[in-house]
Amino acid sequence: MLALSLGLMGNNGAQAKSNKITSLRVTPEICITSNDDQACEIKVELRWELSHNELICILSDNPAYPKWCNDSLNQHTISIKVSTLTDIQFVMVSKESNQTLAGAKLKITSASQPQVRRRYRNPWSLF
Amino acid sequence: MLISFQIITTSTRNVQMYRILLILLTTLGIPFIGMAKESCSTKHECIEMRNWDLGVAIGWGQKTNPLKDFDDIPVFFIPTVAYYGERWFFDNGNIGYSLTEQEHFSVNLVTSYSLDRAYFYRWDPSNIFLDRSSQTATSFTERPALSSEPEPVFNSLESRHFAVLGGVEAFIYSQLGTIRLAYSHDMFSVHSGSEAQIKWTYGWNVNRWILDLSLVLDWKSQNVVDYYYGIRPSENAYWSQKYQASSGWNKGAEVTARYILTDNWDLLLAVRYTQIANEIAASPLLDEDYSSTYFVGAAYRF
Repeated sequence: MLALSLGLMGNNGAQAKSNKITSLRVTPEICITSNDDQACEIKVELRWELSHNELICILSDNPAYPKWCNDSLNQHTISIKVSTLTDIQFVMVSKESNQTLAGAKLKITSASQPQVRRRYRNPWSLF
Repeated sequence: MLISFQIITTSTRNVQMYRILLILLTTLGIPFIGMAKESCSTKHECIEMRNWDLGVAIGWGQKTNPLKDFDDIPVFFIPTVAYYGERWFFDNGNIGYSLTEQEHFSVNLVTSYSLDRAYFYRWDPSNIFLDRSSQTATSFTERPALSSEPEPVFNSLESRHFAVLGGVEAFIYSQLGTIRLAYSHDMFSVHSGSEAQIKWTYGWNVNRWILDLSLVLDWKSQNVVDYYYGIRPSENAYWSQKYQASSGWNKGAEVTARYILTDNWDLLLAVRYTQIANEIAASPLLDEDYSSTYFVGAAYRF
């Protein structure tokens, strides 16, 4: 009972601290294209929260979107236009220490149905 | 004399090979009419392109063997393996190339293999997944004495080899079902025979049930019948003279019923009956003029 209470107290403590958790979020998180060959062209917003306010930089694994750094402690969002065929992984790092703080991923998926054709044999024709 | 016989044999084979090549080249020379974008309508008629379709059905069934003194064949599981590309396809051992796929018809070049050998050999590809427990091919002894003819007692049977056939098949689609017309010829001069098929299939798709009914006519040329069901002199001198093979039509009916349980699991019931052509049933190797198969089980598609 004591352990349970301590556990609950611990959780509450964690929740109290969660307001200060460092995070990076991309909105929207998923871009749906009509087929595999079509690039996703969309404006996404990157929004971040910091456990202690500092200047940050955002990098991506797509060379089309090079490193960007903010110059104001009051700026917590950035919007960028994206044109890509593949997922983009964003990483937020401390501008001062270059330490990785958080990450976010823009996922690209295709809504196209798989191509089908007529099957010429009964699946169980070997019987 | 021997040399001239060999020359004639070689020449005959060459002529047959050229004939096959001519058929293939002529068919390939036909301008492609094109591939219809929507060539199948319901899910169970279609297959996803560039993706292996694998499955296995596990259950119980039996295939009767019309050969005298050969055991019936228990069926424990049935595999299904298929891959369809843009035009090429592999489907349960058949390799095909679609010349055209239209809304109302399709034409394919296709290979197949002779199913007759499966009655003789445990390890024929048709039987790999079947358990033929106690089949032996050596003791042909009893036969009711219906006449004064000597009983067909055979020495060890000579080999009946595996034959790959190549040819053309056409499918015609209508509201009254699908008709398959096919003609194929032995590609590697195993028996130098030909086979043809006329098959009508009608499918029902009701709620979770998928039912397919087929009526089949299978034609086998004299060479095919003689190769598999003819008697060699070493097997029995009298019957090798007495039984003269000729071409014939097998007649059959098939029903396949599937009940969809989940995306991957079906219940499967399959029944097939083949009335063997009189010309084949007359062979002293047979003591039944039919072959029937049934299977009941559960099927899993990966």
